[in-house]
Amino acid sequence: MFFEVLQMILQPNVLFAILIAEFFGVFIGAMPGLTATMATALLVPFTYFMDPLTGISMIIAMAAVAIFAGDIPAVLLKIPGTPASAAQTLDAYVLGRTKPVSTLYTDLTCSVIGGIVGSLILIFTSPVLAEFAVNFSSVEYFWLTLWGLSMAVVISAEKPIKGVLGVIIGFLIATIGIEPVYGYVRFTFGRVELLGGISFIPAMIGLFAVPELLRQISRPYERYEVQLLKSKKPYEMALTALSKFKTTITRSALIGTLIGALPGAGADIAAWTSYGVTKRLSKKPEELGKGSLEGVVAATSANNAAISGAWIPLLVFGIPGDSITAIALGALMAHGLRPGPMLFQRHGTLITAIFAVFILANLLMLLVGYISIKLSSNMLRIPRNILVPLIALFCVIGSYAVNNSLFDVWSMFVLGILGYFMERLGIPIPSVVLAIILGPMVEFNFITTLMKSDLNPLIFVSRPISIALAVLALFTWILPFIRTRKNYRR
Amino acid sequence: MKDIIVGIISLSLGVFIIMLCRDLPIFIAKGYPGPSFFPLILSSISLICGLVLVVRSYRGMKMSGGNANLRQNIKLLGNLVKDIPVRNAIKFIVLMAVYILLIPHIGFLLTSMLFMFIVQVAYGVSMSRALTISFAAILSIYLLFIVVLKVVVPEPILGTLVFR
Amino acid sequence: MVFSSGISKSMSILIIVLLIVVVAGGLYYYTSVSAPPQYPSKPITFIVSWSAGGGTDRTARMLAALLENMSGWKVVVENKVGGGGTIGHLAMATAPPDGYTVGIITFELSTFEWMGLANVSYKNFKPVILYNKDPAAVIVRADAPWKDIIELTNYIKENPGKLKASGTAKGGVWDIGRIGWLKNAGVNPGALPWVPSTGAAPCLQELVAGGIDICTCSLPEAGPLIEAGKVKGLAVMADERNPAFPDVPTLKEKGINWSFGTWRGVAVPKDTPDSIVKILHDNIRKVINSSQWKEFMDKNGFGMAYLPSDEFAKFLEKDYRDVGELLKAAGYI
Repeated sequence: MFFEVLQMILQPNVLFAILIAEFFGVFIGAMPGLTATMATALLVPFTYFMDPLTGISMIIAMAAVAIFAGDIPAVLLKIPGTPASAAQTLDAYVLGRTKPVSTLYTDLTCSVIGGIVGSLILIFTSPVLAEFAVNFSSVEYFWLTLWGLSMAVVISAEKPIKGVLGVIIGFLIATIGIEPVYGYVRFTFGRVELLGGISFIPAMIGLFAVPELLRQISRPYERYEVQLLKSKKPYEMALTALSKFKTTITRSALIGTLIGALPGAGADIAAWTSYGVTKRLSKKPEELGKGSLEGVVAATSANNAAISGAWIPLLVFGIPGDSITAIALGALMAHGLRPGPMLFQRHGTLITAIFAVFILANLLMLLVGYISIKLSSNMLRIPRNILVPLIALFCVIGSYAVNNSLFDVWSMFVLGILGYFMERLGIPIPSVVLAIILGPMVEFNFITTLMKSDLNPLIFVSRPISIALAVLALFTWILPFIRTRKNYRR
Repeated sequence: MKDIIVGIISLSLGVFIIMLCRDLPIFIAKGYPGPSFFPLILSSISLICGLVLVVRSYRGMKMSGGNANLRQNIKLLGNLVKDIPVRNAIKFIVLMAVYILLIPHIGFLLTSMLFMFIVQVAYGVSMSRALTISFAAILSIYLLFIVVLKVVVPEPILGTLVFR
Repeated sequence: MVFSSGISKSMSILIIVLLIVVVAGGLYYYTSVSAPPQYPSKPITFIVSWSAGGGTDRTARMLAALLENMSGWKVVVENKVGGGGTIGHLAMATAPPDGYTVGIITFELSTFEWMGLANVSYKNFKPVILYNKDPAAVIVRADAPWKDIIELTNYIKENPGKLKASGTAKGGVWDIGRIGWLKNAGVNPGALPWVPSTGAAPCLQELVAGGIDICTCSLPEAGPLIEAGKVKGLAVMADERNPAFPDVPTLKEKGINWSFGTWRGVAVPKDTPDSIVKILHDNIRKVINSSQWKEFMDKNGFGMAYLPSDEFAKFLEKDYRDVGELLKAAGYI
C-alpha cells in the first residue's frame, strides 16, 4: 500500500500538476480581490477532464499556497491578498518595513508547519473530529461567533472603546441588504445593488488598501531602501520564531484545524481566533498589532491549518468546512468520489494518496514560496509614484472581478476613504473587518436559535459545548473593561 | 481632541441608526427579535460609547486649560489643508473617483491606461517613462486577466451603444 | 524631462488623452459598421445569478464547455451575483434581445415578484430549454421515531409547532416544498414552523446536531449523510422515485398529491427573435443528449430533465402561480 501510494503521487504528471497549481495559487493569493475560493472555482472545470488524483491534488495545492501567498502583499503593501490574511496584516506590515524578506520567510515556514499539522490531524483523526464538528448547532455557533467578535475588542485593547466602535461600524456595514432571517430589506436606500449587501472582498480591499495608498502617495518621492532586500541573514527570523514561539505555533495550528473543521467557519475566522487567543496569552500582548512576530506566527500558521481542517467534515459527511471545500465537493463528485464513510472503504488507496498529497503539497510550498518571495519582493524597488497607481488598478480589477459589478468598485472606494479617516481617528480597521465577517453570523444564529426553542432563552446554555463557549465569550467581553478600570484607578 | 471627534461621530452614528430603523419592526410575531433588533443594540452601544468619550475628553480638556487648546487645534486643522502630503492624498482621491466614474463609459482597459499615465505624471514621473509603463502594465493585465484568467471587465457603454 | 514648462506639459497630456479617445471611438464605429451576418457570429455570454462554484454555476460552465466542443460556439460564463439572485435575473431580462446574452434562469425567478424583491418574472423572458429538475425530499434523523411520511404528517397535525423544519431561506424553494406538502396533506403549514438557513448543507448539519427535526432539501444533497447512517429520507416530492435512492417513496405513492422542486433552464429576453431561440434550443438539446452531459449530471447528483421552449413556458407560468398561492397560504404575503 505504502509503495503503491508513493508511486501514485510521484508520477511526473501529478507532480507537474501540483507545481502548476501552486504557482497559480501564488498569483491568485497575492492578488487582492482574487481569492482562493474564486481560484478553485476557476480550476474545477479543468479537473473534470483529468484523472481524479491529479485533479484533486491541484485543488489542494492551489488552495494551500494561495492562503500563504495572501500574506505577501500584506507584508509588502499592507493589503491582505485573501481574507485569511487580514488578521496579521498590521503586524506583518510593520515587520516588513524593516525586514521584508525575512518576514516572508518566517511566514512561509509557519504556513508550511500549520499546513502539515492540519494535514496530519486530517489524516489521523478525521472520523472523530468530524463527529464533533457536525454536532455544532446554531447555539454553539452563536457563542463561537460572539466570542470571535470579542476578539475585535481584544485586538484593540489599548482603547477598547474605539474597538467597540469599530465593531459597530463593521456590523452596521454588514446589516445592509436583504436580512437573512425574515427577508426584510434593510438600509438599502432603495438601491437594487445594495439588496445583496456590501460585498466582503471589495470592502476588505478598500478598508486595508486605500488608506495605505493615500498615505504612500502623500509622499510620492520616497522609496524603500533597496538594501533592505539584501538582508544578511534572511532565515534568522524564521529560526527565532521556531525556537521562541514553539507553543504559539502548535496551539495556533490546532486552533486553526479545529475552526477549519467547523462547517460554519473558515481560514479567516481561524486566523482571527488564533491571533486573539495569542494576544490574550502572550507575555507581551501590547506588542500585537504593532509589528509583533508572535502575532504573525499565530495567524499565519492557523490559516493554513484551517485549509486542511476544512476537508475533515467534507470527506466524512459531505459537509464542506469552508467555501473552498464547498467547490471541491463538486470536483470530488464529478470523479465519482461521493464523500461519506464509505469513501474510505471504496477508494481506500486513492484517499490515502490524496492524504499524501496534502503533505507533499505543503512541502513543495517551501520551494514555490521561496521563488515567489524572491520575485515579489522586487516590487519594493518600484518607486511609489509608479507602484501606487498600479496597486490602485489591481484594487479596481480585484473588486470588480468578485461579482462583475462596478458597484463593488464604488463600495471599495467609498469604504477606503472611510477607512482612511477611521485610521486617522484611531478606530482599528481590523475590528471593522472582523465585525463585517462575524456580525451577520451572530445575528442569524441568535434569532434562529430562539425560533427553534420557541423563545426559550435557556436553550443558549442547554448543551455542554454551548455552556463552555458561553463562559469563554462572556469572560473575554468583560475582561478588557476590567483592565481599563484598573488602569483608570491607578 | 481626537477623542471628542470620535465621541461626536459615535453619538451621531447612534442617532442615525435609530432613524434608519424607523420603518423596521423590533419584534416579530410572538416576540422574536426582528430586523431592527440588532441594529438598535448597536445604536445604544454607540450612544453609550459616544457619551463616555465626550464626557471623558471634556473633563480632560478642562483640566488642561481647554479653550486655548481647542482654538489651537482648529488652527492646526486649517493648516492641514495647505499641507502638501494632505493635498497629495486629496488629489489622488479625486483622480481615482474620476477613473472609476469613466470606466463604464470608455471601457476598463483604456480608462486604466489613462489613469496610470495621468497619476504618474501628476506625481512627477517623466512623460515618456509614464507612457511606457502604463502601456506595459495594461498589456500585461490584459494578457493575464482577460486572456488567461478570463476575468470579465466592464465594457464601454459607448461601445455597446454603437453595437446596437 | 522632455517638456520643460508646466503649461506645455498639461497641454500634451490633453492632446494624448484626446488622441486615445478619438482612436478608440473610431475603432468602435468601425466594428459596428460590419453587421453580423449569421447567429452566432461572436461570443455568447451566459449570465449566472449565483456565485462561481455553486450548482447553477457548475451546470452552466459544463453547458458552455460542451457547446464550445459540440457546436464550435464561443461561450463565456459571467456571474452576476447579489440580491438573492435578483441582480443576475434583472441583468438577463434587460439585456439586448440579440441572443448574445443568454440567461441561466433558476427557480427563484418564480418568487421575486411575490416576495416584493424585484419586478422580474417569467413574463420578461422567452424560455429556451429546461435542463434540470431536483425534487424536494423530506429528511429526518436516522433515529427519528416516525416510520414513514404518513406517521410524520399525523404527528405534525397532532402536535402543531412542536417540530421545526429548515433547508433554505424563508420563502425559498425548500420552504415552499414544505408548505405544499402540508397543505396537500390537509395540515396547516403553520404547524411545522420554518427556521431559515443559509442553504441545504448547514441545515443538514443542524439536523444532525439536533437543532431542528426535519430538513426538506434534495436527496443527492443528503446522500453522504444517508450513507453514513445519520439521516434518512422519508419521501420525495416527485412523480417517480429517484433511481439512486430506490427506498425513498414519493409523496404521491403515499396519497399526498404534491410534487415540487427546484429547476434550472435557459432563457433569453422577451423580444429575442424566435429563429435565435430555435438555434439555441437545438444546439443545447444536442448537448444535453450527449453522454458527457449525462455522466456529469449523474456524478454531481443533478436531476436530468428536458422541456422544449413552449412547454417550458407553460411550466414557468404554472410554477409562478403555484408559488404565489403557497406563499399566500403560508401567510408570507
